[in-house]
Amino acid sequence: MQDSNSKCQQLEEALDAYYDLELSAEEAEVVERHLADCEACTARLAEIDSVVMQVKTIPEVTLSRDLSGDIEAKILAAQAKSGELTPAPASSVTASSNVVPFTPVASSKKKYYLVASAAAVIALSFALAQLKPAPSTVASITKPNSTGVVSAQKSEPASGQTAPTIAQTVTQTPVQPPLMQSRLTQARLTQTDVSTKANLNSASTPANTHTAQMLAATGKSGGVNKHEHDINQNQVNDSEELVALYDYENTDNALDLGFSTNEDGLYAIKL
Amino acid sequence: MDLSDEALIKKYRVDGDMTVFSTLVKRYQNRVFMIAYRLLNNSEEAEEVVQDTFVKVHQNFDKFRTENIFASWIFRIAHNHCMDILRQRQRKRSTVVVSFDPQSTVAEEEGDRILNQPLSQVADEQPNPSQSLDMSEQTNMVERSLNELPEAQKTVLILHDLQGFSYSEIAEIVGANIGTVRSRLHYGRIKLKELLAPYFSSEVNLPATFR
Repeated sequence: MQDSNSKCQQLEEALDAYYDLELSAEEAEVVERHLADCEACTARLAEIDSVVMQVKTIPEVTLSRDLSGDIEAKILAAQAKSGELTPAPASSVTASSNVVPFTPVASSKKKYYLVASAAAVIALSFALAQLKPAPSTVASITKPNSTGVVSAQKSEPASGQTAPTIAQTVTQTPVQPPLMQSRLTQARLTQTDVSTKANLNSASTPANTHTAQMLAATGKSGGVNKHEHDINQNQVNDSEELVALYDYENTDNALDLGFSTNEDGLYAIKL
Repeated sequence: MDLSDEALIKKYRVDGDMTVFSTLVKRYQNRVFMIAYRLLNNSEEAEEVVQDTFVKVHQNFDKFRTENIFASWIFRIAHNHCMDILRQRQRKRSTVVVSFDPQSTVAEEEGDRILNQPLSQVADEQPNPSQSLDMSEQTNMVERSLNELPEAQKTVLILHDLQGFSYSEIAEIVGANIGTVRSRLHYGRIKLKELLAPYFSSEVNLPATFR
């Protein structure tokens, strides 16, 4: 009897599963063998059937209307709402993570550069006009060559050629390598003082850049113009200043001097 | 010939045609409504569950894996919605002050589920077991008794005995293992039998008044 009770307890939950046909064939066979000998479990099985039948008397409820249209409208509304959160710009540029919109700060900076560059052109043109170069002599500025040597030379302008303004000089594209090389060679050949040449060669070092910076910063021409004996001293001074200025401008310290350039190559002067 | 769920899902993923999705909605909306209505006892909320369920199904359509059963996935979402609503009710109920008025039946007449259950504990409006029952009353009594079951047991009983889901499908819908489903069903039926015992004979499957 005790064994039968323990078996009943063991199969208590299994009876529901047996009734629901959720047992495997082996499990169902075990339950059926027990039911054949146990009246209590057979009665319990009948109770399960009674309760389930009572539950099944609950009538099915149905929707009063088709909701598919409402659901579709909700889905479309949700899609439209999510679309409003990330609207495409009017220019039909697709929004993506790598597109950085222009900001008011950026545009104002651009305007600043335009105004400042215009002011710089005017100011530098005025400064060049004050130089009043001799008609026969034009100070030519060459960019530092690959070794960084800076040279100033006298050249005879072709007929009708006018002296370039500083603005034109500093905004011009780099001299083509062959021309620059020939000018450098010529400059080196005109150097008579070996020591001076040594000094010029030392200009290729970063120290010379620093010298040019100091030159430009102090406004002093320094000793470079000593080596250009056949050039008007004032012009040499001006040329060397421009060379130093240009050299300095090409360093990262341009902003310190008040010059800057934007991505379009326009120069601006800090006011 | 109606396409299978899998065929419709595949077609919708290729075409993105909303009419295909609407076909799936029409196929399951009624069953979702029935379950939601039985769990919530409120047709408006059940309709909201139907709509929210399919909106969510659409939103997560890409996440559905075809090796699973689409119906189970839908009913699981619906079941979760219903549980959310029931939890909200529970929170509201905990803040409702129920005044004791045995004469008042307004709450029950309006079907106010928030007030109905606490009132039933203090003022039993159910008919005396000795009173005779007709079939509609019998059904009403079963519904009441079913609603007095713990939610987990009630859900399993509705899904199995009313909706005919298998244990494994129910396990998937309610997010439990099959053993838990079997246990809930077993104890739910025992509890329901006890609740119905005053009204029905435990020996034969007929209301007491019919004997």
